[in-house]
Amino acid sequence: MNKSLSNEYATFWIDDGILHFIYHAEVVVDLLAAEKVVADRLKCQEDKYYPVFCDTRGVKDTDKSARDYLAKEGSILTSAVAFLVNPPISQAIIDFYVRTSKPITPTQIFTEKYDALKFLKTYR
Amino acid sequence: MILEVASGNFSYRIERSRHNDQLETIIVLLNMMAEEIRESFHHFALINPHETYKQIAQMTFILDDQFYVRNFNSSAQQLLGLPFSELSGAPFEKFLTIDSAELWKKEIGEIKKLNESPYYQTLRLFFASSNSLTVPALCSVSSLVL
Repeated sequence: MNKSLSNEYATFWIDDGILHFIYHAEVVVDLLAAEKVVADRLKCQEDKYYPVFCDTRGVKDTDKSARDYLAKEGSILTSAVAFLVNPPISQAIIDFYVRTSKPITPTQIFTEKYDALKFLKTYR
Repeated sequence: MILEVASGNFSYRIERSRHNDQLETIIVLLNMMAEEIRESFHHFALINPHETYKQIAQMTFILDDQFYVRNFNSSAQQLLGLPFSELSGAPFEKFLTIDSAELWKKEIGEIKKLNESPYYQTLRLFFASSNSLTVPALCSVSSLVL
């Protein structure tokens, strides 16, 4: 496993050809947070494409500017994205995001980490 | 909130709590829905903006050197739903949610460190209106010359 990188919103690392990132608890993802998360994700990836596992169970809220930013710039250097959610709130937020912001990368939502990683392994 | 949206006002949001239940989920979805509907009314033609539209200058407050409200415009009074007597002379953080009041206090600390030097900052603050809804706003905060 490569060394990890952490900021006030999330922690990132690469393992088995998949970029993992976990949002910290009670994070509100506004545009500033979204820009910081994308910047650090790209730093971790070092210009390489990766399938991305995103644990969003800690996300408390998002705003539209953040969702729009993540759907476009947040898809850079991603071959696929799997969101891990926890019903009901983080699942509702991510469901809403995928339906309205229409991210350009293949994206799916999971409640089990094993299923999420199984989906991503086909994009390595 | 639903009544406000139905009457064409997409500025309000319901304040979030730490609960993780179905009611909180509905609140989350209502807030996000209001954001999307507000955005959709901005597109009167085929426009492809580089980022989300941001509304500016709805509320204006003039604060004194102790950060108490000295003056304000009619939009501020309307959006917060407060009478003149409650707005005038009140500390600015009185109109903010708890989290935003904390953020505002930190900014005051930064402003005070600068002494008399000019200050300019953009802050995202949530105002608490009298109808228990919150008003998110991207605020421009700057020191005045006179």
